[in-house]
Amino acid sequence: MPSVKEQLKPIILKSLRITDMTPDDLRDDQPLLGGELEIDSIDILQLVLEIERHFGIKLVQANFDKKHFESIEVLAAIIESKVAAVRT
Amino acid sequence: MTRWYEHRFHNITAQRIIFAIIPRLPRFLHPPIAVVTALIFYLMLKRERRAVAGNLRPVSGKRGLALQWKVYWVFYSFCDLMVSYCYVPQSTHAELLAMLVDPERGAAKIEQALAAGNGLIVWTAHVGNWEFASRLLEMHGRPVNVARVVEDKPAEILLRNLMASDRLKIVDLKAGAPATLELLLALRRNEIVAMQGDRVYQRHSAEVSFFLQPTSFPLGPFFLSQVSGAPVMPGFVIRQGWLRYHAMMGEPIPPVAAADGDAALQGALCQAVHFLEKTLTTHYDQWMNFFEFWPVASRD
Repeated sequence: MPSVKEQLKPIILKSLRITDMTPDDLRDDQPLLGGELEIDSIDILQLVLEIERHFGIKLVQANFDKKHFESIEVLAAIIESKVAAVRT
Repeated sequence: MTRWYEHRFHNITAQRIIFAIIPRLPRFLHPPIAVVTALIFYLMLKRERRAVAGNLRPVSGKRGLALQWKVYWVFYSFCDLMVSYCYVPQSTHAELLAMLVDPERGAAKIEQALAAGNGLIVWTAHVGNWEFASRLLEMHGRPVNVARVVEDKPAEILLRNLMASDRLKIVDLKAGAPATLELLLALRRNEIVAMQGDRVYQRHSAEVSFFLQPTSFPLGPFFLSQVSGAPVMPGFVIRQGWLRYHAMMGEPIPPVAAADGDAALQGALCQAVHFLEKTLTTHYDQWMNFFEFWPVASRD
């Protein structure tokens, strides 16, 4: 089964409608806010929607911090912990 | 980006004069002072007068002197709005309710929407008194997050500071994605988000018919509704007399399912715009846009 990071990268490309990049082009330390992906106020909603639907979690809730979007690596770790929490 | 208050009398000196003098005068003197002040504004602000006339023409269907009379009333409404800053920010809830002609104010609809636990997005516009509206929303015991583009002009800072309170939080849309996350988080805490729906601040908008003219409105509130599950409720606070108001709340617009696509989002937007259109049909002299809302239409 692909890792959360591997599943996340295509979701990012799909949500942001990026067609000229592949998942391999996305670095693990790629910032999601204020970086070269240029995620705007609506893109972020589409991204959250796709992540929550795909992983069956609530990403943005009480203990949420904007720092969770610091990089793909950080976001993947947060998703992983939320998925684990849902399963237990 | 064009601001609703874009005219030269919206400055800190004018505000200080209002805030220093008006509260010291008996209330019965306010309306005659506003009548004269609005006349001065109407006569001196030619560019804004033309713009308002251009905006009201397709809305009211009026021409000539009848149109100019309504244009004058837009300036009068602006006077009421500015004077209301002397009272609305510090009024108790009981005092605010006393300023309403109908104290029920659509409260039951709001409570019903909040009962689902997904928060509520109140879709408002530059009509009547939107600051009063945000204070009314506070009465539901939950923080109110006002999403707006924050400007650092002294006049704007003064008004913002007047309105600031523990329950009323300003979320600056200039922050982009982090601001959106803040709003989404607020809704998930079952809080209220208030947004001005009649200005396009970013690229995600849709063109809908508004007084028979294709007009762009932002889709942001409806995307936020989709992700959060919060309904969108259009609502305005309309002036009924000097510092007397009436809250008009539309029916809640349920969140659009992501699978329903962009057409469904546009359909939800149309419902809100329709409520604005319906409100303006009667209260167009409280639509405070001192710039050409439809640049082409206003040149005729």
